[in-house]
Amino acid sequence: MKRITDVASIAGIGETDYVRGTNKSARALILEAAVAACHDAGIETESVDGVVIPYSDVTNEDFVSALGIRDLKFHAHVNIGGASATAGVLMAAGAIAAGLADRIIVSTGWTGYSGLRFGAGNPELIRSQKLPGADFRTNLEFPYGMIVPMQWYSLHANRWFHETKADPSGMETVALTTRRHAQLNPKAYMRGRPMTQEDYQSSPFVVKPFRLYDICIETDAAAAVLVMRSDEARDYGRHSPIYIAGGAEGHANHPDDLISRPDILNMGITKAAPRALESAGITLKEIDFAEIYDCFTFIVLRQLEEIGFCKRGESPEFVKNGRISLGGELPINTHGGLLSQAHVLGMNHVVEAVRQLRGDAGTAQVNNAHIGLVTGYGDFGDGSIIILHN
Amino acid sequence: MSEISVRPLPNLNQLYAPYYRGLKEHKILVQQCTACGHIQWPPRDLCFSCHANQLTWTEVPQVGKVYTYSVYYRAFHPWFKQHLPMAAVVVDLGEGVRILGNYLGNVEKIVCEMEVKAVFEDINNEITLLHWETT
Repeated sequence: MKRITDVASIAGIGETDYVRGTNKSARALILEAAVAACHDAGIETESVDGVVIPYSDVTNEDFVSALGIRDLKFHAHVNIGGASATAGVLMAAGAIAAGLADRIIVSTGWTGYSGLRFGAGNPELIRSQKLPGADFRTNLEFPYGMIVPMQWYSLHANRWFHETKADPSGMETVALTTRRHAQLNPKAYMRGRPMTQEDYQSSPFVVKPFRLYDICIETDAAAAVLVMRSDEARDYGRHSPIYIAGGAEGHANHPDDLISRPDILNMGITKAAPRALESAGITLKEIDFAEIYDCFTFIVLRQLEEIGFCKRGESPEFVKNGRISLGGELPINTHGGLLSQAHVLGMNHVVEAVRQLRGDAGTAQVNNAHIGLVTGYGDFGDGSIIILHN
Repeated sequence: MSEISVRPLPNLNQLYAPYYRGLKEHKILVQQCTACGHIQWPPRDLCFSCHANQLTWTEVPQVGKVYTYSVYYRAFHPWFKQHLPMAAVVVDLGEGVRILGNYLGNVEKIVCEMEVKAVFEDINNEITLLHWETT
């Protein structure tokens, strides 16, 4: 058992509505989710003493003002794209284990639909994306039309298919499974919009090899968790604490540039996963469910491989025959994920893991859920992973 | 000038001006460390290998193999809309150098490891872009 193991717990969760179309700013959404997480935990917002800010530009002062925080003892910004939320929860656990603060809000969100959309072709995209290696993008990629995440991911995907001869139908399995799970989730944007195999196969290619249904949805959304010292959470919390058993962050080689990365299949989570399992003192076999960052169906397959559930190229086989569905051996993205619930920068994956471990997932409940895993994937291959248990 | 009619262009700061001057002369120049000999692309402040700040420029071959690629059916900046579908190829020129450019042939026929050669497109007085077509 490491210093961080089980010292901190997630005691509260908060979410805004998940919509496409809002007048609210990202900041307003993020602050609202934070307040909701405090209420869920049963604590006064004023008593929060730490804040971790994944991805967004909201400031620690914004949180102090909005929550009435009396004495902020710790704050941090985490900027590794979609890996930030999960890494942020881990950072909060670390700060608590170090005694820097006792009640830390981790809140993120954006106006992914009403603000600048990745799919929209707006000229602002070449000016406003916050990206590592910004000069490489501006001077060597944007002039050739290589501008948005789905294009970077396609570079990885096409090489993966070439090297491993992996079966592309694996992507379809992930798309159909997450859409099916979304039908059971009250907050899922795609609830009431089931997807058939015909629907998937007739959806157009946007950037090869990705069809429209291989790509996450654009939503306005925020979500937050309140991380507390486990002993306090046991004594004062409204819910049973969900323990943070361990986790890790990892970065790909050449993290600022996919194109020059000697092995473009190299990913941060390859380095993070063994560290996370070791820190939590568990093996993969003990994981009951996994919420895997799913901006693209393809990257779910790759994370399953790099975490070690199967070998490179074998994930399409691994996900077949209902293994990753509710009721299967390793249910994943039980809320529908970024693909079918909402894009909340992966914080919705943390929230869903907590619901599963509380036994609050309703018809989507994983039976005997005891240990869950959540991942984040960011920018050009940053990876984060946390392991939670009840 | 309307944004839609202008292709996104590079900034010719001190790390990129030599590269684009090279392209104008139909040469591909990349960085080389004078301390350890390491060749690197994209250009950086320090040597990626030995971390010294003694970088100069060297010419690399104009033929290589496609390491990977992307084919786009949608424009992510308005200028590209008129040119769809488009593809970008990442070309391996050896010595760890890979360069991305648009593929000028049939975008549906790109295969990893196929051999391609450089094609230079003069955009204006300052900027020439580097594209690729099959040999």
